[in-house]
Amino acid sequence: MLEIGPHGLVEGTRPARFREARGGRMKDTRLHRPAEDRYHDELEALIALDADATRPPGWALSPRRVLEFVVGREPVTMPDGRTVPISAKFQGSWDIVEAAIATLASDRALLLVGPPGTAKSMLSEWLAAAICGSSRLIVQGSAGVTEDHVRYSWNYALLLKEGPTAAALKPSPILQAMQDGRIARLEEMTRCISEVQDALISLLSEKELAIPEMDNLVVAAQRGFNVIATANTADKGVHEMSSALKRRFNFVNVPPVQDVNTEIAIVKRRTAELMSDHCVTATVPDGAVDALVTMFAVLRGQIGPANNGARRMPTEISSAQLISTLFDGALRASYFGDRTVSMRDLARSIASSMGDNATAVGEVLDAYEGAFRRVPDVHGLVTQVRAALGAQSKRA
Amino acid sequence: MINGLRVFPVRHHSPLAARHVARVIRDDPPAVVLIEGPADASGFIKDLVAAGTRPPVSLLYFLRGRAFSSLPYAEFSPEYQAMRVADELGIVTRFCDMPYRLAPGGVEEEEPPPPPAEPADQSAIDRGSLDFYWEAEFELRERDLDSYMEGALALGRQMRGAPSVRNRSREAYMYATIQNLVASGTDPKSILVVCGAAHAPALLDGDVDLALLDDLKPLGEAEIYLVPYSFSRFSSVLGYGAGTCYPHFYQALWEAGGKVDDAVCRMLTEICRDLADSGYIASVADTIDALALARRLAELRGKAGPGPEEMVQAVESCLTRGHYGKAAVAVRKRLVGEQLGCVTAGADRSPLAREFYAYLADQRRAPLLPLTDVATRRTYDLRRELHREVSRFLHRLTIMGVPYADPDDEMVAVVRRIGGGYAPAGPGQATSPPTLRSLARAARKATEVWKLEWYSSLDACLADLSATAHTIGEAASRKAEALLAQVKDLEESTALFIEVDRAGLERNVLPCLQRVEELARTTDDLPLLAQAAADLAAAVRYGAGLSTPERAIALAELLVRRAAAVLDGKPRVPDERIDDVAAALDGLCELRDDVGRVARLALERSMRAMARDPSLQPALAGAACAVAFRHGLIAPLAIIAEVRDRVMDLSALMDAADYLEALLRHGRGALLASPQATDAVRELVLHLPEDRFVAVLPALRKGFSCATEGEVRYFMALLMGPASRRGAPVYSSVTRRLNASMERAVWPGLGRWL
Repeated sequence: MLEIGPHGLVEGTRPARFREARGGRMKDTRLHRPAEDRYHDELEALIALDADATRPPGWALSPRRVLEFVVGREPVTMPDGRTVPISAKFQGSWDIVEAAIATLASDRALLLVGPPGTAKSMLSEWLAAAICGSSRLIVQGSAGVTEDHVRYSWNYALLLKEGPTAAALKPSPILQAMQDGRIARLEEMTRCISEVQDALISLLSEKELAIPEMDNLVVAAQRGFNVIATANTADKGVHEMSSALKRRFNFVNVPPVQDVNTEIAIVKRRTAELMSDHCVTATVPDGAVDALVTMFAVLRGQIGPANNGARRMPTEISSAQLISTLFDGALRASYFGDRTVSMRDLARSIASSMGDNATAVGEVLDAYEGAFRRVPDVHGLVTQVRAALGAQSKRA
Repeated sequence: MINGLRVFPVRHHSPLAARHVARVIRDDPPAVVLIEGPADASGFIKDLVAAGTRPPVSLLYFLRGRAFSSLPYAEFSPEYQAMRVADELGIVTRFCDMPYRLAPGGVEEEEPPPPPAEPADQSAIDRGSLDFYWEAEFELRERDLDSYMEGALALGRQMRGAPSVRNRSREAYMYATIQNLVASGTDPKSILVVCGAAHAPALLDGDVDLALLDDLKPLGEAEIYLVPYSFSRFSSVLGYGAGTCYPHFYQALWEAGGKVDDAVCRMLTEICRDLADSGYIASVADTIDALALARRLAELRGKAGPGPEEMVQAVESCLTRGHYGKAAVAVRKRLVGEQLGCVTAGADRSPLAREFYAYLADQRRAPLLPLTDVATRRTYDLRRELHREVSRFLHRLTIMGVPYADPDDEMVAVVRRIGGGYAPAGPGQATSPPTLRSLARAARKATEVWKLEWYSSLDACLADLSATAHTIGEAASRKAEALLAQVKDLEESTALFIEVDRAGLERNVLPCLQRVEELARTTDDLPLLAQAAADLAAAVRYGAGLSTPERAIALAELLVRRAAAVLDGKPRVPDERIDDVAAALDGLCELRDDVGRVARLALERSMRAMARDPSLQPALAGAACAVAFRHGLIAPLAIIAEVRDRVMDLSALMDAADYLEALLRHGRGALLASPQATDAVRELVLHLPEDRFVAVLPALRKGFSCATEGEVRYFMALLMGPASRRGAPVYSSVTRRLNASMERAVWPGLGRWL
């Protein structure tokens, strides 16, 4: 039988060539490691530090330590003498994190709203991992999500064989979170259809779920249960939330990073994590990251001449997309280059991420030529981007 | 060091300090209370604590020709409470700080920004700002007197750093005042000094340099007035730097006796009610959630209770749910506050300020002239005597540059532009230069709309003007004289003439009139002449506020005659100004009934000549023709004949196109409404030879480029409708021609229209 363990497929169920052993221990080969695994040591250290603190019911850490886990603090010295650094994961305002934590300690659910690529999902992952030690009770919102994804479904083979029994019941991540008193995550909530959103109302207000098929069995949420939902402002109006549902949530806005240096730090850190996850070994020169972030900061009007609105990038460029572009450049450098991300690698990544908008992008770059010329690295990157866009157009 | 001296350190606007200082004075009344404040303002203490004075109020220090300074007091200011309680108990109270007119070396020193204070308890507070620290550690923690004194003194020592020369001089002055008092036989133990926490250590320790007093020299003669103040000016978010971001919250805290939870609960309930009143869904349950969130946030931040920052976040998260605009409005109203203070009637004020406030306080006028800190609009019907009188008053203020009334009137903007005027302190005061059209619009109203808003700079402005005049009328008149000297062109002089007339400044009307005449004789700018004439005539016709219509009419006639003379000179007008000229001609034609016979005939003759003049710039001739047609100065058949003559001349087809375009641009509505005109056009189209028809199509197309699709369709229907009624051959003749033309793609748009 196929089994899925905490570290992926259980040994023995995968072909030998995919197995990698190191020091007698199974290597974690998952592409994305949840925050509770990635920051296991940090959480352990904070739990040790938090031994006598007052915690909200069902929480693994006190709100103060949850805040420290997300925004970072000085290293923690463990009883065994080890020093565990607590990294700053979220680079935005502390106020946002504090409001989110305070909300989760109440009986209101939390809705993180903001433009795409502002680390809403990551913030929800970090919060869930710190509060209940699990960030994996997640429903990814989309038009295909049904009420079953929010409530429960059945193993139909067992249902036919045994009838509606506990074994045949397949609880949704939200139902699991209710049962265990943990945090459930609902991504892109406004992309879910109204019926799914409505199903949440009773869950969030009554904090219990009736299962009529099992003699009206009522599953009551345990202390510690709450929901973190995210919504993109770009999706506003796709499936507008009802007033009733809005009233079940506290809204916390996560704005884009405005400071270029902060954005550079975010892009560097997150790209390094991605490279580690994907075993990509390439050197990313600081100058390349600076040039990439600065170039788009100019195009967004954050720095340099004011963007008068006459020329705009055809697509929104978020921090997440910059990370993706840089990582793509690292992949090119690692597999097809000399393992050092060059301006050319970056330029080709930018060009390919622009899709069919090569001409429009070229025009925007021309409009900002004066500003780019002032920064040699950025100008070099822009020149390469122009060349890559030209080559791409020719191929097309 | 003065042994036994009692010094009470305060933060200038602190409900906690205010409560404690009041209690200290009541429990152990001193013989003298000395308060940090310019010594030359001591006379105002009786006005500050008078029954008719309601904070927020401010002492306004003013040196002629220099910037003014404010020293505001709210009910929760410890200095104000000290003065009030001392007055109640009959204790002598004085200001003891350096007089405003003095400065070290006689040179004004820029007050350096206060050094960033390191919070004493870094582990409790991570944010590091002094405001945040004070709020968290003092106001919200509800410290008792001993704890307060200890904490405030410690903070004062920490904040002190290296004081500037000015601050050291001030401390020396305060110390010398105390020494003099002691020398005159007052027991130091019966002196209570209420001063900022940063100055307290210097006075207690005697850490002052009295030699600095020798270097104090006067900057000039200072004037001091007690003026009303407002919470929004009080807020450091909006202006006053040493204030507090959320004065209304502090007021609530004061009224709640320092009970933070009560104040927060009241604020959130009020915000929720405001939101519900504005149609937003916000209930008591939401308020409860907001309060819970605010409390949790405070707990997370190590605060004893929620402060304004927590409330703002709670409002955004729980009440307005991500609608930050709504949250900002609610916060401004309830946490910042809109309260405007008032000053006792007996307080010393400049003559102009006395007249201003007395005028506003009049029972009949009060509803028309609200004294408010929030921009409020009022409409005045100039046919009513009272409204006309109020309008005159406001126009006088406008001429004087007093920041109180802002007219929805571009004419006044011109006057302001001439003189520069006072820049009102509030945002959104910049006025873009008016266009000629907007000028004309502004004058043609029987009503006036004004935006009224009180600014803290108003009293300073009135005090400044008091130096040259004793009444508002006199000050406005003097200012108008100054403005007249700066007038550069006809537009400005006309605007000033109208404004002076609206303000009822009889003395200034004649000089303004003479200036307009003088400029009119030397100006050959047609739009300016016409616009000035139109403004004057329109002001006479519609603007009931004009007090000398006969003079304005005479002046308008002069301008019309001058304009006619300019027209006779066949002016060349840049393309971009053709529209202005057309509007000006239109305005002139509208004046025909208002001006005398000579001017009217001159104008009509000039207009007719222009419309038919082949040597005139085609676009100008077309526009003149359209305007003349609209005003009945030229017959439709004459127009079509003119069009035919022009389009038949193949050598000047593009001139014909320009003519047609201008004609249709300014007169197509009238042309389409005239059956004679449409019949004539149809005849013209039908009788054009085939080759000529194709040749003129581009010109027709250019001519019709300004018409909307609907207008063209309507025009074509008119063109062919009667033809079809007369018989198929004619109709088919037109359509065949057009179809043939379409095939050649000469006029592709026509196919679509048809």
